[in-house]
Amino acid sequence: MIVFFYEKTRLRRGVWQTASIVLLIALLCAFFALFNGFIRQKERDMDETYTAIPVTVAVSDLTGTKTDDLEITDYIINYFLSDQYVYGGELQEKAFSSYVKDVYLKASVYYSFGAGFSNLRKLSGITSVAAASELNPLSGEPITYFAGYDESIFSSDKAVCVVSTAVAEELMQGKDNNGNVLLTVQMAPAATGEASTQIAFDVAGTYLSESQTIYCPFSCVAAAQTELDGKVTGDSLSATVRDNRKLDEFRQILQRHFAQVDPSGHREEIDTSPVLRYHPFAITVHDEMLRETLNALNRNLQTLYRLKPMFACMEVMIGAAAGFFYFHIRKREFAIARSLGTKRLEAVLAVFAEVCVIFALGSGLGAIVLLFIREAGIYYGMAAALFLAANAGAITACLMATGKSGVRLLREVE
Amino acid sequence: MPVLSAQNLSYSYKTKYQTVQAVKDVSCDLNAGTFYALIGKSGSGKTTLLSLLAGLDTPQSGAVLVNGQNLREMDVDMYRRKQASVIYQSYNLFPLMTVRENVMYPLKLLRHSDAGAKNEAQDALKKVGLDESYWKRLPAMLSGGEQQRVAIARTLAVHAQIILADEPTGNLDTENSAQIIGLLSGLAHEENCCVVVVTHDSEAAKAADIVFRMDSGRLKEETA
Repeated sequence: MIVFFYEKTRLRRGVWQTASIVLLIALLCAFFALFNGFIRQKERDMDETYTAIPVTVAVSDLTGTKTDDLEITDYIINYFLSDQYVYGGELQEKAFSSYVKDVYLKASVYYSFGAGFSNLRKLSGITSVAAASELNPLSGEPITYFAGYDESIFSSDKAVCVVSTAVAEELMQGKDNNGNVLLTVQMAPAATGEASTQIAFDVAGTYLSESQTIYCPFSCVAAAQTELDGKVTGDSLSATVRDNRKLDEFRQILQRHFAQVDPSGHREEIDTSPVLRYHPFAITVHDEMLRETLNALNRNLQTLYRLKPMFACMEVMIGAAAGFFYFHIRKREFAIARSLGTKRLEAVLAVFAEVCVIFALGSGLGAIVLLFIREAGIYYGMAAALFLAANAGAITACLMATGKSGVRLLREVE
Repeated sequence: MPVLSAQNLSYSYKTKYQTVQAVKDVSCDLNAGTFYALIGKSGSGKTTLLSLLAGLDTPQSGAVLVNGQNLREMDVDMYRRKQASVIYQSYNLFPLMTVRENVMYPLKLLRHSDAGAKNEAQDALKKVGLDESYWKRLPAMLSGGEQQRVAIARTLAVHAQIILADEPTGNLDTENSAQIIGLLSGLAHEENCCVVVVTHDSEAAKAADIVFRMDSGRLKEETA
């Protein structure tokens, strides 16, 4: 009852004092929420980095210097394409291919169009034009597609092709009655003794180049190689990692099947090493950009994580000091109340009630401010700590003022 | 039976350099309806004795008896609420409460209703000569004499049996001092209170029925 009587007059007439501490509490609450929100934003950035930055893996020779014309064997290709594979005589539960998406494959045969075979006349089957440039010469080249065609032709199994401007005219003149270009293909450029087959292609577009290579869907070349050689042999292979968070897990699996790239590797050593011979190819994980970005973000986050308890302690100390001094400057009032017979518990209750009102107003005001800021992370634990600290400071001041030494103050003439 | 008795009271306190024996074996009986003046040099222990009588400090030895009951065995807070009231030189009013609210405060401590406390406060204020125009003012808007009247009204409102005033005229001019002493004297003689005034003011001492002198912590009764 006396608590209500005292606080009613106090809060009504001490508006400016009350407003100042309410504002301080609002600032403290809002500051920490903003800081916490900043940390959450960085954590989200880190999360988004995993999905935003693509990581590719590319098969190379053991020195890592050659990524094309590798003669990649079909079982290696199957690692990336099949849902299951056998390792150590056991069917692997978690298929190799579940870690990758968008497998970029290139396989080639040699074609002849009237003038015989040559090293330069390659028919390359690719899975996509989006493959890394070192694996796919078409990447980045402007391709002019004819009506009804686009780059999706490479993921289809249609007999369509894109030819360079250098050979386009020759090919167009030799079209058959159906408008198709008939190519004779074989595994090696040398003509003698090689089995060959014919493929009728529809020309889907041209690319600006002096090259004589013709590009078609991977499936066309794979079918031709199977017919001619009984298996598929790839020139190059790369893939995008499906989930970068599982990169370390994937890397461990890769290490079972591929050698580490050793730029200083000596061919003779590789040939004589039973381990390296067992792994005819190396693999490079292109995660430099991801690692650099993640490292930078992680450094920032670690700094923020270190700052968080410091800010929390600072806020708690400010809250306790604010609570203490807000009531300490009114020590005479408490001494008067005590001299009139107010019990210490009643004084403490009045202080607690006032802190509750101030905190409700302060945190409410802070919350209103934060409504206009999207990246705020309200941290209730901090609000509770601040509340307790303010109360601790306030009640300490109250107990000091209502003790015997506090009441003695009334005898001193100002 | 005396309303308030001091029996062999002793009290000392420590300063940075020494222990001060402020009150030495003081005994006295104080009766209702009597106006006492407590005089003495600065540092003689007057204010300390008053604090012991008000229960604001606890003596190291001896006892304060209130209507024959030892103050140590009583609820000191209730003693200050109902029976004893202290008036200070610096008035000690709540700065953010109006005149009326200041007088209502001790009544609210005694759990009076708002309306009841308001009426009693207003009656007390009228008795000390503060009319309605003062009631809603804050203490800072009043002169020293007016503030001291409010402090006396606060005492009047609870009908305290014992009034202990520590240099109540110390900050006032002659005219206001005389009025305040008149009010306190009136409380003793008309309201049958036991009024003890610590003072350096010779006029206040002259108005007292009994004068005590404190000298180096010892109490001696003088003829008024």
